[in-house]
Amino acid sequence: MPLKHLMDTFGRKDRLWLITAPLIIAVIVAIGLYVAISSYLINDATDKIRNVLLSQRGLHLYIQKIMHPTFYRARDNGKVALDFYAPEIFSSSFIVRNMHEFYNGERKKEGLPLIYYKMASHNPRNPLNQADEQETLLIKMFNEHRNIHEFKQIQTIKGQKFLFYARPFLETNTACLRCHGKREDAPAGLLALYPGEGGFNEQAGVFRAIESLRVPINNEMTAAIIATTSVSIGLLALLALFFFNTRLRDLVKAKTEDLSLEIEERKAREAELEDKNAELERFTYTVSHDLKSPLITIKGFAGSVIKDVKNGRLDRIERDLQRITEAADKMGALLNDLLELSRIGRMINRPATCAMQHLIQEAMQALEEAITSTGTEISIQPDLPEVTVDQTRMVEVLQNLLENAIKYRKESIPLKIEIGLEQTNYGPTFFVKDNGIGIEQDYLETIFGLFNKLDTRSEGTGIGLALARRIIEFHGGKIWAESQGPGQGSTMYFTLPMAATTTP
Amino acid sequence: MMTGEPLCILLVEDNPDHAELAMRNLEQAMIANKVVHVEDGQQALDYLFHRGTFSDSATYPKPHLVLLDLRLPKIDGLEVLSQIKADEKLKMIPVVILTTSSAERDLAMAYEHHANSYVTKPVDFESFSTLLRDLGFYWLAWNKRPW
Repeated sequence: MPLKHLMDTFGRKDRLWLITAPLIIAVIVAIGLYVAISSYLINDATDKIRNVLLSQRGLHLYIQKIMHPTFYRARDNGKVALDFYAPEIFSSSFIVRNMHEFYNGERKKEGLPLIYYKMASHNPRNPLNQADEQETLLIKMFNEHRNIHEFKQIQTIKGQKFLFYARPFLETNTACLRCHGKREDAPAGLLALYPGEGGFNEQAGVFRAIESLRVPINNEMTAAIIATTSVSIGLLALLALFFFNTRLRDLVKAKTEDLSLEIEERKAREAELEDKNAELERFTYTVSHDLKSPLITIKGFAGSVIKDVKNGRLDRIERDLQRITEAADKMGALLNDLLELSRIGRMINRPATCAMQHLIQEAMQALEEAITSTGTEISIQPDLPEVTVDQTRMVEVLQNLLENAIKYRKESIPLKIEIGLEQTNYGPTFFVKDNGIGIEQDYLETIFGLFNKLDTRSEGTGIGLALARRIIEFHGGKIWAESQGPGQGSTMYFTLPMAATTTP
Repeated sequence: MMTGEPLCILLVEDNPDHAELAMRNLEQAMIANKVVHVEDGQQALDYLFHRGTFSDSATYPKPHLVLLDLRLPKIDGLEVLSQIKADEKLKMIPVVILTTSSAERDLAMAYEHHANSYVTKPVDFESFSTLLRDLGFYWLAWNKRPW
């Protein structure tokens, strides 16, 4: 899949996130990495120049501890003139400074960068060694804080990065004071060379100077930047890939879930469709059977009448013609019912909320004559909830249920019908209970079939309960019958889960 | 007709008009001595198994032919058929399915349950008469029975 297309599968927000998140992480890591690498490289550079400084320190100490005593002995023995002084031999700072120049010369030959050396004092003998502002502060700091042995700093001079490294010079001791103490105590040769006051009047136990080295570290910094950049870019790429991958996986997962949901839904719809097809098949079968039946009656008796008339047999003609009329009426009724049944697919009215009580009363009004003439007693539970239904259709259901109860009442006792609401496995369930002839266990389901009648002689086409079931199912509910058996009365239950059944 | 034994037909038909038509035609053809009409599957089985009101086997003799509708109230025709064919004594009685249905499924199921014949009720009166007369003649006169 082309990346462009792949990116299109992410939302705008996703894309922004995909780019920003790895970038932020990479920048944070880069900063950390840069700090770590540069500090490592600087430490490494520091180690190197510390070594340079320490080896110079060695030379200082050699001059102080071996050369000076040797000279003093030679002078005391009269082998050297008493007033002899030459910085080339006596001054360790002079010697080291010169030695460092040779050292730099050697470095240059090797193509190595020069290391700048300076001994700085606030009270120098040679103005070359005059401490600047920072060096003066450092001398003060090393004197005041004896636990601090070194100072390092990155300096930028004319765009060049330098590592500046400083240590206090050797602590001034009594030997030093021969030349750095009172001016009158110093050798005459020294006084002749340095007529100024610089370098005198020092005290033992203080650091009178610092030594510092300045080494260019551009290479190190460049290395740090290159290392940081390359690692960061690599990391960025990895992170971007990781985030992209994670997001992609999430997307694929979500899509897969969506798809499996869709498949499930489709399967459910297919099953529903299959059910509908089976229903349609049964419907067609029933219709063809039930419509053909009266046709056979009509044609059969018409043929019989013709024959009877021919034969002069007139006694049963009237009855036969009556059969024909009845069969035609039956056919008409069936056709009406079919039309009615086909209409249920479309609701007549929008579902509206109203009291169940009200709907029951409407159904009772429609059946008023049958109820009064049969002396039927109907009791309705007083606290029935409100329902959201197609009212006309729901009245039809109730009317059908009441009609059935009346049709299949016991002749011996007055019919009592009870309407109410109770909890069943299907939730709040309405019931219409009668004390009629009851239904055998085997027929509890059959009675809901189209044009199925238990008693062929009873009135009607047998569409009532099929119609009621369709209406209830259209509302998303369920309707079923229960009976303890013949003679035990029966109860019709129905639920209306689609309707918001609320207790008023 | 051929023997002295009174020939009996059991007509299982829920539609009273169809029953009347069948009875008239059967009587006119003068094939059977007796045509018993029952209205549903339950009554048909009660008659055949001599149950309830049909317990007297002299008044309600074993039929020589059963004309059976498929769509019946209470117990449907296929169930009646399978009970007849599952019974050792009854299974030899020829059962002719006489129905309005020409559905393939009904036809297949009827033979599956060992129906002896399957005919659909003709809409035309003349054909209806001829069919019933021929049926009667074939099963009661031409056809040889083992009892």
